[in-house]
Amino acid sequence: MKKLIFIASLVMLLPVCTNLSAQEEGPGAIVGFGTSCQSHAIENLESCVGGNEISYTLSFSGGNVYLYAYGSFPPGQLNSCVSQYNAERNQCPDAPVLLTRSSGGKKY
Amino acid sequence: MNALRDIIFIVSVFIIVSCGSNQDNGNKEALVVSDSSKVTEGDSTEILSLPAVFQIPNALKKIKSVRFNEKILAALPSDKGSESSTAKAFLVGIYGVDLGYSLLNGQNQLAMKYLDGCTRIGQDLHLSSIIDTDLHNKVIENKSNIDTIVSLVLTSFNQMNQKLLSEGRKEVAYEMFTGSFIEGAYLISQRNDIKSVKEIRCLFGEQKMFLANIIKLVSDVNLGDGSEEVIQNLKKLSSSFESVKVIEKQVNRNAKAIVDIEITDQQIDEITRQIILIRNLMIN
Repeated sequence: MKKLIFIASLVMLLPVCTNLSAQEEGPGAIVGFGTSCQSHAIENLESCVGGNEISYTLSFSGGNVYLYAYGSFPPGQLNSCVSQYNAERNQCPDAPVLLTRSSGGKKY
Repeated sequence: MNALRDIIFIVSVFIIVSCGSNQDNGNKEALVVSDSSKVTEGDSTEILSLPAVFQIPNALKKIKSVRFNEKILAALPSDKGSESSTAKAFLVGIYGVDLGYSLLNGQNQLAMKYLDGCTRIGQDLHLSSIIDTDLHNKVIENKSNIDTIVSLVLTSFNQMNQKLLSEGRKEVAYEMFTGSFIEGAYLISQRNDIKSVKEIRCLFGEQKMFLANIIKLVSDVNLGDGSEEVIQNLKKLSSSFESVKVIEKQVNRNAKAIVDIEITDQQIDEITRQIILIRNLMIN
């Protein structure tokens, strides 16, 4: 009887903690944005902005990506990365539109 | 009595061992509550993400497909054509999302009606070189290939944005984005399972991040006539989203995973009410 209660307790608790664990790890590693299409476009964008030594933060959750980048750099570089991304995302129904915005002086 | 004591002991040990292990790696400190409304000070450039026309319909379908509901979509344009340029731009954004919702749910005929709606309004906005009968015909030709249609429509919307930005008409582009944002958020709000399915609830709360970007964009430009009330209500909506908490975890130097969204049922109701109000302002 004790064994039965013990096993039942384990079975009842297991899903709770599995969910908690999955939640804390997020939707996966950096490669796990959702579809491979969106992931590919974002990876190329990361490589482009990263290659230009731009500081950025990328937030993601399941199918949505929220990118925030900032830094002192020639606007042309960043615009070129964003244009390349926007062309690639035409194949991806789940990829967001990206725009650049100057939060200081010149806006473009 | 002994059995009860044993159960309590087992349960306690299990909770400590299995749940506690997730926090032992020092990542607890990495969980942060994001404040996406913060703008970097100084002379810097940001990349802002905005919802593409198919993004929310696609996310909703991926989370859990439910029966298609045509009633929640926006009414198609009338023939009077007397709306202001701002109202038309809002509508293109709204119809784009409804087009995506219809298409991704296998309602091709309805999707074509929304595409035609975008085409008609697009002409008034001097976008007929991109969104025209040629696009309509290409979509018809590829009606059995949804990937091609998605690509054709997304490319057209992308080209419209680029054209508007390059011609110095960014206020029209931003109005379209605002329309798409509101319609996407509205579609999420109309799901019966918004409070019961965690992923839908989170998707709704995440709109806070898109809204913060929309607010930044519209603050840069003077939107056209009739937009004042919309902007005023977008700011109120932003205030309502303020208490929605986005919990993130740093996964590497540059990336954060959103691990949870804290949004109450009351907040969902209030935000939904405001979204409906703004949508009505845009449509009517």
